[in-house]
Amino acid sequence: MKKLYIKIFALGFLFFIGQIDVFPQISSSYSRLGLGDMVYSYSARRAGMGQLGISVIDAAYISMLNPAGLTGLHSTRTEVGVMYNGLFLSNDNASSYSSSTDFSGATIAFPISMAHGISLSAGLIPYSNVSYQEENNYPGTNSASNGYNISYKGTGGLSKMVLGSSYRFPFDLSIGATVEYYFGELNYNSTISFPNDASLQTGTFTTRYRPRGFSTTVGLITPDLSKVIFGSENISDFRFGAVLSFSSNLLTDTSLIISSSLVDDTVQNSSITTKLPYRFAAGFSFVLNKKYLFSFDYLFQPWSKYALNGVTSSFMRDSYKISTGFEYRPELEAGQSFWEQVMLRLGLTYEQTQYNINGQGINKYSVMGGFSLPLSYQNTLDIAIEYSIRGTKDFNLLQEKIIKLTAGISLGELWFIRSDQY
Amino acid sequence: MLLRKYLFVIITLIAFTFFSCKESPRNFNSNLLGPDQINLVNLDSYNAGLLQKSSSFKTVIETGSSSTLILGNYTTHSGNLQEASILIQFNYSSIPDSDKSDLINGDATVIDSWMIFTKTYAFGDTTVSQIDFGAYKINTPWTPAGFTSDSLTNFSYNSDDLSLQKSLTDSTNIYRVHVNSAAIQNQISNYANSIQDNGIYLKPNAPGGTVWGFGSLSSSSFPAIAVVVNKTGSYTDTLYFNALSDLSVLSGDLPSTQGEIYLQSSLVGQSKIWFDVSNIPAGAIINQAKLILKTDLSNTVNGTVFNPSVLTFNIADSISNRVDSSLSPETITQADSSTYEGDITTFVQKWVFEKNNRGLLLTPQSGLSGMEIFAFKGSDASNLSQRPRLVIVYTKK
Repeated sequence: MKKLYIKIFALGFLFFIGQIDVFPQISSSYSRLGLGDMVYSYSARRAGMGQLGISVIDAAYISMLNPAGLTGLHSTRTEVGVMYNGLFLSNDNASSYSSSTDFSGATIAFPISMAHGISLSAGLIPYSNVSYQEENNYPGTNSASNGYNISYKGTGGLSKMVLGSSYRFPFDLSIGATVEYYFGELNYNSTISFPNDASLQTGTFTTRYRPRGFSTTVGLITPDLSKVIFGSENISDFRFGAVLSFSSNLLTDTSLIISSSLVDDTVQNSSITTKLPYRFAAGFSFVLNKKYLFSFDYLFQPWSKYALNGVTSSFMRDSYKISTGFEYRPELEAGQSFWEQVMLRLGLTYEQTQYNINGQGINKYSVMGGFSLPLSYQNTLDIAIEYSIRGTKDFNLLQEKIIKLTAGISLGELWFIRSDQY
Repeated sequence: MLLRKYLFVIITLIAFTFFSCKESPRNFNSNLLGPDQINLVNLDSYNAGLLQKSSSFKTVIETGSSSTLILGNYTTHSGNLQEASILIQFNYSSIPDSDKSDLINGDATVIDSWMIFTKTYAFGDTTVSQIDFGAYKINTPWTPAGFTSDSLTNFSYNSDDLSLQKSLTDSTNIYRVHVNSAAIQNQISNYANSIQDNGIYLKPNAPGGTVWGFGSLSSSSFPAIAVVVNKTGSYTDTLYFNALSDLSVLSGDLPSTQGEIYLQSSLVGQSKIWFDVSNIPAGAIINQAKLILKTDLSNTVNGTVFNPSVLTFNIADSISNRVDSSLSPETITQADSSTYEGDITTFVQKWVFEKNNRGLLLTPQSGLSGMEIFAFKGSDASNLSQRPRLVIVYTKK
């Protein structure tokens, strides 16, 4: 029971850290479009090997992207993470660097029946992220003779609470499903200020969206096909996986708020729907020599169907992501040293993002790596580092160079074990 | 062991959080923020030809708390006679018992008495050395609270002028008004016998062009009366008594001229101005709103002590002219010899946000002291550029 309290405390504390809005900018003005940047992985484990891993069944990882992956769970697991983002932003006009640390998610899952692969999972994880800040300076006019600044700031994002379960058929086909409750707040601020003239009031317009609604995800992972296809002892766990998150219409409260030292009130209110497009992902993976996991994945989401109050956006296009990952996981044996238990990961991804500005698509290339340090049996400290380039300086657009450091803790324990009575 | 693992992770994560850093946002001009674009707009009532209205009116208010008592009369440029008079009572409670009993028994008499005022202010012809007025016994009970110029309608006083010689000492500005000794002895007797006495009414005589101001009970130079009591063959005492209550009343009408609005202290003259700002979107943020008034120097009259500032209030009810108590008044001050300017951003923001614009009320900042006349060009001034002007800078989305 004491351990449970400690875990609850740790989860709460990490969530608190994630809420510290010290330096909030982790993206660029691209995230003003649609629902912002997609967050594919909250965990350092997946972040280190390409973020997806659709077809991987892992006994020591809570797969929230494909709930069918939960069938391999052997113990109750808790995973939390935070993410440090460093952003180098540039175009032909300017450049800047900013960074921040954010809560990246927390999940818990426990096996109900290991024999049948029945597990339950729950989690609070981000789905998208809005985070930008830009400031334009204007020279003096007849309105403001000493000039003025207009700054734009976007914050918030869409998160989801997830409740999922899995089941493994006797012929080793794994299926899983989750029910997701999406919620969040997206704030777009425009602030005018007059740094050289105190007699003029600073004012801020905030457009706020508060989407909420349910959706579901179903996934499957095939039985191990390695013997059927390869017939080799060196290749194992060759599986295909697929997952589909259904489209959802999120009820969205919108408001326009004006604020200055003289007024702070809502001037417009309405309730609309946000159409969240479905997401489909598929992939395959295999293990070589029982140590080397390879994963290849493809994810597609038709953002061209994203609509706000029934109106699609010309800035949105269908997105896809191609990802490949590698993990070195040593076989655990008695007497291994600390370093002999360390897991290593590598990944590469290419992403056609959902952003399309004046016919110019915004694409992203990423390389990532990571490792897991053993804390004790079933418990690891996971670290991943990712370097990405997104966008272009051409056409007056923005290029982002992103360094992302994800840290997480993955803890496993046996729960619900009845002690023998003597 | 488990706790130590968590602590290690937590400390690491805290370090992440506080090692974060950020440069100031930059001017990328990325054109990605179209939906959030905001625009700064300048709206000048003169250039935009905004509709406007203005008017002046007299407000009857209590002046009992004024620090100045004014006395005299003045004829405005438009021919309105304005008359300032004073009501005063003295406090005889400090009279020595021996003097009191001698006066009651007829063993002593008041042989001289004079009211003492300190001159602090002059209006109109400030060069005169004397003003013409009389002192009359008041018949009607009164108190400073609740007494206004309208109260003079039902106010009565004896027609016998009790005043005698009057003298002003220039070096000290002490003004002495000798009054009938018998009348003062009668006042003291009334006090001793607990008979109501209503004091003295100082009222200008023939129309003149000068008003003087004296310190009131609300000031440090309050009025008093000196009373000389003589008991033949025994003593002659000079006794001083402070005022018990006092007030002054300015009656008459505001000046009026086509194309102008007026404010006047003590009367009290006020004005209203209304601008049509309905074209500003309700969701706009008012960054600045400046009211500019042009002065008519020829019709503006100042006293020797003058506060060149005007208070503006947001009007809550344009019928009763009740002001909006939720907003503090703003001050309009003299920008140059012919212009007054002030910031009324708070009012305009409320007009725009609540779509409820009842206009502005203007009143002299020192409304209870002196009788300054502020003459401003009004909304019907023939020269459009001299009309009240509202310059608004606002931001809209």
